[in-house]
Amino acid sequence: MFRVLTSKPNAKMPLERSRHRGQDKIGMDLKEIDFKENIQHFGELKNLVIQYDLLVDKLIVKDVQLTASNDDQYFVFEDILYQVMLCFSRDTEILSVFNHSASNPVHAILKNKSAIVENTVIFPPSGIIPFHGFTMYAMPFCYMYENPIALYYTFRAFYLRYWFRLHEVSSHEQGILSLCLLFERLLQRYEPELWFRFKQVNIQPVRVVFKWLMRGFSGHLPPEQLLYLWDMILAYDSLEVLPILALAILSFRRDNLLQVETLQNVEVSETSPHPDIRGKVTSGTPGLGPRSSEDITKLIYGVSLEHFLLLALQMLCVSAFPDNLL
Amino acid sequence: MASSHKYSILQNSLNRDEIIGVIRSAFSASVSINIKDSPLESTAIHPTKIRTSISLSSAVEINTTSALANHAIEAATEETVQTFQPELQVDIKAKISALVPEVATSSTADRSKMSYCTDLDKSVLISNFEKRGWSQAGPDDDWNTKQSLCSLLTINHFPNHYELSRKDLLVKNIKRYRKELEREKDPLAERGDAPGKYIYLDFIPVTFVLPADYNMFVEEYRKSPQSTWIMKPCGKSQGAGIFLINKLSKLKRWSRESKTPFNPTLVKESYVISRYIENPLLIGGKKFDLRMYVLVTSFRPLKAYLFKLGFCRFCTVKYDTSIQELDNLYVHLTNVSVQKHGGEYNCMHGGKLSVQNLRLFLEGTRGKQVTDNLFSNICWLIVHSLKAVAPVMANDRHCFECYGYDIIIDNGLKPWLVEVNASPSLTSTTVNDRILKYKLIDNIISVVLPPDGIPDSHFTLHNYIYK
Repeated sequence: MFRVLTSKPNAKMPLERSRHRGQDKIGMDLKEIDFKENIQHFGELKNLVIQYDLLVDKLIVKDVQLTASNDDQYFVFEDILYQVMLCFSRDTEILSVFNHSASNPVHAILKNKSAIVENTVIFPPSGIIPFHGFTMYAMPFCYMYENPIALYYTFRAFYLRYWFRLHEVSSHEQGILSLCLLFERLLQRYEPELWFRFKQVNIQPVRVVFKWLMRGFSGHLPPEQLLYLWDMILAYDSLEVLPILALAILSFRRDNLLQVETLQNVEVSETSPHPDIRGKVTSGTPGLGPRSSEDITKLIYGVSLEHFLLLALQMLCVSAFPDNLL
Repeated sequence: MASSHKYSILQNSLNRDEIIGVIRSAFSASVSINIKDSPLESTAIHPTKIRTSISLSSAVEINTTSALANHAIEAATEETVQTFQPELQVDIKAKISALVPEVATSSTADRSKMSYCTDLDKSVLISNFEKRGWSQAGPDDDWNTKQSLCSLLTINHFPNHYELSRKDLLVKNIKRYRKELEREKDPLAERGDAPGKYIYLDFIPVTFVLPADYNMFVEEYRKSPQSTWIMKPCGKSQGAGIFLINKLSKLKRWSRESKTPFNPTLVKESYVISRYIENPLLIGGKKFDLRMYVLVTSFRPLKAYLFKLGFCRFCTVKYDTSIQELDNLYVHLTNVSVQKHGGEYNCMHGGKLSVQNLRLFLEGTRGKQVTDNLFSNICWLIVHSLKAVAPVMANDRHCFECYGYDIIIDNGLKPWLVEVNASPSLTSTTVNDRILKYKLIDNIISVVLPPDGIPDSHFTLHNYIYK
């Protein structure tokens, strides 16, 4: 994260502070890690990948092909993503997320062996079964690291701290459920007109933004803005930035959204900033998440992400966050 | 003489109600057809037959880009992506019959009376013209060929753009430019330690024109016999006829085997041979080159605009310098026309990455300072290549041109000028590509035409000037 943090020297004040905070946090973590160990560990993971195949490998490869290889922002990083995602699936240190989670990883019995505890393994070794779009958690880091080892460890650190919450059902206040709830409550509180409109036409507001929340906006924002957003997540050490941004986007497009009738039209109207231009832009083929990266960019066209987030935070009077985080 | 070339028109019968804008390049239909073979074959174009190429460099940001982008987006999605076609010159013809005072007073009403005529049916062009409310006129409507150029005429090519776009003439002009600066003891032409090396003007690889400089080439080759050289035909495009050699014997064999013997007096087609850049910057293990657009509205004084959007064209196969892969064009040539036939070609992204993303990647992995250096070196390269040809270009004030600059970056982050295209392709291979080219044409038209939208060569644009 260092390079992104230091690349823009003229950041605004609140962001500057947050960057330093983020820098402190990551700095602390990275100092604890011995670099030689990392290289060795990564080498071991690579060996494991080469040694034996797992069924999830096919899922991973398919996922990379569907998301990164078809995306015009990330297609050049295909190879490195294969490496990173495959090694991720063999890394047993990921199992630590299950220490503070209500879920359990999948256990499997070794083939042709009796069903006793000694023959039980966790499948896959990382405990995480990949799903379509999983690679998108790692893709933006490709713009910061050429070295797969550094990329892998940064991605893993982010996953272990933040991303795992976005795809598991849990009661944690920053889990995906709570984020959706936060979004709905904020929408009701700050955009009552829009809220009532959605109720009238029977659209669940969460359905509009869920994809964005679950992926951390990856694939929906251009890489540069996305890295800024993830900076903010790091800075505030909270995923709550995501529903706030989602709300800010809807609020910005309020005029268009007040005229829609169906969920499809919501997606369409969000992509054309002028109410009189009702394009037939689709939000992309369902199977290809990154195709819809056009959506949000069009939504917030002309407004930089920084402005958006500042606008959103101002809207909420910043008091949504406890004082000790600022 | 006047009858031998068709110019765009000033009608005798001035229809006061009708004002039509003229943007055309004046040439006969037969010359238009030649485009398909080679844009530069007919080098014996009379200087008054103006052919404009669009070379763009515009730092101009217009207010309408947002609406434009959306319009483009809609335009993009309504039509299917076109298949790649050979680079065709843009001949935009429009007619004009104008009463100048009326032009000055009325505003939007006039613009809707403008009509255009083009023999190139590209959606990026048509949608731009229609957005401005111009109506299409057929190629045979009211052409009056007897008039000379008037001030209401703008043409999208310079008469002798081949000085820049032909590979041999470009090299010749740059070499001449450097020698001139050296004679004038200009600090720009300072030489470095290695023989023949300029410190600041070293942006083209060592190049010779064959067959004329054959002996000089052999002498240079013998100095470093392990190096690879690339042979490019001077007048062709889209990677046609390009191949690599690493041994002199291969060159001799090629000259024996080719249909037209490599006899200096007989050969029609001349070639350039340059030292191949063997260490290009690789991303994901693949070679790429940059396409930048530069709009030139005048050569003396030099007014050039660099379009801030550009893209990188990637190869579909990993870069490999081994001898076996020397003939594999998919490894070495980045032209889309070559790569799209490859097995790995993906039409979702078309192997094109935007320059902004390239910049982000380089800033993230190499640091902001070296990246800024790289991009300012690219600007430097463009400026000096234009300055090199400025003395020899016919500086007609009715002309503008948009060039497509092909630049390769090596892994020391040094840019090299590969070639300049006078007619960069306007075909879009992906949706983003179409949007980019749409914005490009829109910016060009906005820069070239005065604010009221009627062509006027007396109009001087107060913009960025490179000295």
